[in-house]
Amino acid sequence: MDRFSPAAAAHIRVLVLPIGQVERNVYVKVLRRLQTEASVIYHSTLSALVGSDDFALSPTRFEQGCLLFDYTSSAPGERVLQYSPYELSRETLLVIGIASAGSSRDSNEKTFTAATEHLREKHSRAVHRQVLLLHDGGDVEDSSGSDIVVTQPREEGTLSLQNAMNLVAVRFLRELTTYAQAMQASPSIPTPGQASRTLQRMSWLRDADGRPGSGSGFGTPLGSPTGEDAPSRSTSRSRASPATSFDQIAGANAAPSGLSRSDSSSKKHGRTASQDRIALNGFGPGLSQEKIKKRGRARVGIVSGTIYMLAGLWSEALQQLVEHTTQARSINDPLWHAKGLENIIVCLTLHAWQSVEFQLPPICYPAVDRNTSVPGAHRFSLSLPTSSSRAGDTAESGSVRRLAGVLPDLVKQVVMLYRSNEGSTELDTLLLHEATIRLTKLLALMSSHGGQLDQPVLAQIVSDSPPSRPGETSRSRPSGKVTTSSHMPGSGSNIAVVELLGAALPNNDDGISTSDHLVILAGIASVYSTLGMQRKKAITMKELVVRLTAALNHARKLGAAEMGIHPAASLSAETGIVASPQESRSILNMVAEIARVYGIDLVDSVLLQQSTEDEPTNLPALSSSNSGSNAIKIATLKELLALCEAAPDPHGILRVLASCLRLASPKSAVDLSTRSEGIELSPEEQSRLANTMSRTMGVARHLGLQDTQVDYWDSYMLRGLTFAPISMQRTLIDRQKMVRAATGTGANPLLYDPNSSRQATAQESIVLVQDEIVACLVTLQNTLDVAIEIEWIQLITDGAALNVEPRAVQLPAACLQQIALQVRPTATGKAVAKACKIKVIGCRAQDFLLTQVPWAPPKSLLTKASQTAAGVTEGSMPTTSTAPLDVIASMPTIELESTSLQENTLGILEGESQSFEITVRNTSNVDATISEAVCTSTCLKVTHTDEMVAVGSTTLLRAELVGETDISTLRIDIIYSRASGSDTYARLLSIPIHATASATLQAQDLEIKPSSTTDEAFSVSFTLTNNHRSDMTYTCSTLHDSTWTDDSFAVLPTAQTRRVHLIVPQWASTYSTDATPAELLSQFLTHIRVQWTLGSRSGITSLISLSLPPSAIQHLRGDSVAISLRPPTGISSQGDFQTMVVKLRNRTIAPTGALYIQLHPHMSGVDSPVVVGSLARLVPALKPGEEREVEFSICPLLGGALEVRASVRPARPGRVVKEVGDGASWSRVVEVQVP
Amino acid sequence: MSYYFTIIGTKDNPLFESTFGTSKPGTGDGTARFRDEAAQMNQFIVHAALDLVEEVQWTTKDLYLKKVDTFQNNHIHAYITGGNVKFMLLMNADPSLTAYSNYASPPPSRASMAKQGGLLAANPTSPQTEEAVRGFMGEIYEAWVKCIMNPFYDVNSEVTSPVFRGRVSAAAKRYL
Repeated sequence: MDRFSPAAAAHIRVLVLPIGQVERNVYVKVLRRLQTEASVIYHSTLSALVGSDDFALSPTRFEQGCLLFDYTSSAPGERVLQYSPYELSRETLLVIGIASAGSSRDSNEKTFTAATEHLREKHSRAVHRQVLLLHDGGDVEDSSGSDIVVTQPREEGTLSLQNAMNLVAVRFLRELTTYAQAMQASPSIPTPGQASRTLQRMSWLRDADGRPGSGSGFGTPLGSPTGEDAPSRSTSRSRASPATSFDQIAGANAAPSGLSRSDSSSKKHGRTASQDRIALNGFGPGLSQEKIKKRGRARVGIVSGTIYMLAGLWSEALQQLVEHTTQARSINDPLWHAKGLENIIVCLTLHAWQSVEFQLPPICYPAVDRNTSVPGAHRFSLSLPTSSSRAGDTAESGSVRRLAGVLPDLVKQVVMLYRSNEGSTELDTLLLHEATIRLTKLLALMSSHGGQLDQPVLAQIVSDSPPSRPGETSRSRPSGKVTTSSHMPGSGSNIAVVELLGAALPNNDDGISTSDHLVILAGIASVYSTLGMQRKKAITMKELVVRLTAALNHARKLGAAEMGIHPAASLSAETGIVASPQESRSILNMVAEIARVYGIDLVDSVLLQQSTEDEPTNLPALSSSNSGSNAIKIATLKELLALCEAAPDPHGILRVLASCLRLASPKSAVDLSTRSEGIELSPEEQSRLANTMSRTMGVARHLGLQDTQVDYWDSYMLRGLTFAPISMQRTLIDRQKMVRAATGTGANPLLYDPNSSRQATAQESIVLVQDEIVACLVTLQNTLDVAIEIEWIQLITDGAALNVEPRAVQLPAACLQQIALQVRPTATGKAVAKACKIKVIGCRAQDFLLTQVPWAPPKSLLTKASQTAAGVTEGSMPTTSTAPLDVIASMPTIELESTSLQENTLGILEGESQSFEITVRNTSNVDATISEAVCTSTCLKVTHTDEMVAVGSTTLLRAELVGETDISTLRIDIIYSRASGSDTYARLLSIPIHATASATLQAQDLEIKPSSTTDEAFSVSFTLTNNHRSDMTYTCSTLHDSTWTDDSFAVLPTAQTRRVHLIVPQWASTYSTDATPAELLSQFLTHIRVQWTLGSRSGITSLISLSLPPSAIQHLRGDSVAISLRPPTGISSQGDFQTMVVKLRNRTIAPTGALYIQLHPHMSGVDSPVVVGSLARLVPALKPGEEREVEFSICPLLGGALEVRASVRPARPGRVVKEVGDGASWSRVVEVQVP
Repeated sequence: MSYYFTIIGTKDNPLFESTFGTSKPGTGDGTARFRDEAAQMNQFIVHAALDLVEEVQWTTKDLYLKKVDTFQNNHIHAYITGGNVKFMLLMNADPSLTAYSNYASPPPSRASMAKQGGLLAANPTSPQTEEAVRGFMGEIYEAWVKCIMNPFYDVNSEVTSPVFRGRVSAAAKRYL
């Protein structure tokens, strides 16, 4: 039962005690059953038990009523007793002893007697004491005599307990009748109160109303005639006089001195106006005897009415309360007037709850006595006339609505009355605050249901059953708030409630003990929660946290001092009793609630996360980063941290610390450009937090606590994930790619591809080999200025499992760090790696998704969102990446075993050829096949003898190297793969060969001319230089019809040059114009060879250094029509006709046109014609490749050396061209000796 | 009289903060006399008062909501703009009297209080105070509208403009 329930006054406090040997769980079970099953006992069920016996509080007098029992297991503090007749429900009126019955009746009897005696001794103040004997069996004889037997106490749903309580209730009512009669007989009842400390408090009324200085009404103090009328407490330090009457026992749990301020003159409402208020109309000691008597009667009447209400006789109670409250009002007894009114409200509420018809008493209309009462009443517009005249109402619902309409004003009036003082006495602050909270809670509950007193509200008010959790209320608030407010009868009455409630906030000099202070704060927070004012609630809870922290620390210090430990030492968690996680769950919830309101993104505790444990991966949470104030967040977290440290609650400390660090981290996947959204915490602060964290963890471990783990604060920790083979030899080659690269088909055909920079849709997967360790490079970000210790990292894949060697690493402060992990795939298949499970010291192992792309939460552009609606995800989410993996079956590994090379570096002469052997071994446990052995240079050739390399065996490769310049580093790439199965992937063994080539002969300065002696041949000359240190023998050869013919053979001394002349026949039978000079040269070079010998070594000189002179190109190409002139066979003489044959050959692949052939005889020194005969001839067209011989008959006219040349050119009709050139081909000169 | 003025965005995030004292001749020199711990408490108090702002804003047609909340001897006046941005003015007649619970240190002696206070301090709910604050808020509103017209100002982000700060202090000097 809530201490601040609005209907607390109607509840009978029942103390349930275990007596004798009762098992704990039995006792708890019975207590819980009593609370759930027997808290409301209806008169109608009691009537049968009462019979015809009539007494004052007999349930038969008011059949609709009921008794409300409030079962507790603890007795109220002694201080509460002084409030007793004024607030009767505080006192324990009924004591129930729970004893377990034995087997025999005698022993039961004995137990019962002893228990009853025990209760009577211990709880003499209680109105009634009753023992319940618990019987496990069901076959026990009925209760007889004064004991009541409860059967089957552990089984819920049986009526045994209810029946027992019915019996108890009847007995209690009889006793209560006696009590009531005794009460009625007393002349007067003192008011529990304290000396008025602050008369200025009344000025609060006028502050709130904006109407200064109305000097009448309840503010008027009432002098007390005698000292006995003003009992007071000694806790207020402002008063020097000691306690007067019965309450010297007070102050048992007074406020610790450290918290209360002694300066009573500085009141929170430090207003100086109307200090003289007390002097306005005090009665002084001259109060008449008759008035005292009247007042006493009224007070007794109010208490008596309250007893009737407790007994469930509500109509009678209402009647008495109204009568005596009216009297109290008339004689200006404000505190009792207030009490009477409050009880009337409760009584009316009970009527409404049980749907009993009632009439709203006139005293409830504040408007009636406006002239003498609440100054603030005018603020509320009374909605009575409209509501009462509504048609179609039953009388009962009409009065309920009237009650609802009148309540806001009435409550305000009651609170005002409570605040007034009685002579020099005012109500005890605790009572005042509690009453305020009770009444405001009533209003709050009403306003949360649209200002109506409908049945759910009433049930909640009376039986205190929470309709919904506070969290739900707050969440539904943004949408429902407007309607709630607009439905209020007096709009803005929530504001009035808050105004009332604000004054209930206890002050330091109120003299309230810490425990009461905390309870009051909790009560205020609960009312704010009912009103849906989360921020108001939060500030109250924060106050509570601060108070609680101070109190806990104080208590620990005191405890430590008693134990003889230095007080400072007591503050470490090691000496404290650590709250168990189950017990601290409500603290956790409270912390979470405060944090939520202030916009703190609290790291989830492990305790609260058990339900979501099986969630595979956690998405980076999008937090509403910019809601709330950073300064407030930090301050709140500090206070929460202090609370957790005082508790001491290591779980809570870690949680708050982690939240602090999360606040400080930028909540983004950082790179150089992203803005930092985090709160700036200085590095010192951060390292202090981290130190506290590790210290707390140490303490927790020392204490043997489990689950001292929190969520890591940065969701974007994993920033990169790549794989790298452990060595080059392990590199895998995709054969398809090799083919593509070789053929050149893999290249992008587009010159400009806008999509080329975009990530390919089909991401290329990383190929791993089963059972082979690869290095996995994980990039982690640490945005804080403290280093982070990581215990281990695991890879999370959906598919083939990867074993990661556990390794502890340290992530340095403020960096992106790459960490190499050794990974061994255990199964083949495809998989996707998208997250890592990382265990940071002190944090639980968490999955971090791969966030490769830098990302920061976008700024929200929605300004209309309110704080309570914040947290709705909006905008973009970070893009997470994945790393597709392809684990293939084990691949062989081949390693170089040995080479036949004697030295590291192979010395070779240019042009020389050397061969050596390479031995490789298969070191893996898989057979390998060598598919290819390629060399980087053409001068090195490798042949492999055996393709298959079995496990552990070797194979031999033969290599041949031809010496060339610049061959210092060569490489042999051996490509091999599995002998069986798919060979999509291959491996490469690279063997480097180092060689130095010494220079030998060098050819340069090439010259090519048509041969003057042979048809269709060239005269070739070049210079040979001996660059070697010793003389060399060389042989030049030319290729004639695919056989080499040695041409010249000589010794070339060292450092000397020699010009070599060779005749090379025209090798090309066809004429080609499109051969490039380089092609021509390479074709030409295949037809000549220069061999050298040096002792036993020999080689072929590379002629590649020769360059083709431009004039040689035409000669190498040759003419389109080859022409050759054959000299006459016999010896010719002057005057004889000789036959000269011109041979033509079409070298093209197209037919020629008609050709014009001409002979050009010439004799040196002779200008006149030297021959006779036809010197020119037209020849018909030649087919491709056709040869034709044309005979000319000429007669030399002169003796001597006759030189004849022939030329051929396309025939042109019309004119004869004399000049040489223009496309004519010439034969070589034929010399004919004419005797 | 000490004042704490803050502008609260739509997510309870403070956009602007300023503390100043009264500048009325004879009563103040324009400097706030908050205690050290108040710097933080004021933020909490104003934050809690937002609940009341959300309550009051539906009950009046004016943007100026007058006094919305009281916490100990702090009084909070509020003004709400069309964009749901709230101007909150916390006034405290004598900060040395405020008992911030978490700090047990006794307040300084009352002697310092003598020179505090003034016309407005006399009664935070008096019509004069309400009018003075209304004038202050109106001027701030004009400055605010011009401030958010700045194309380089992002909504719901902190105001760093020294011009705006200058206008706030000028308005404070004039009205409070």
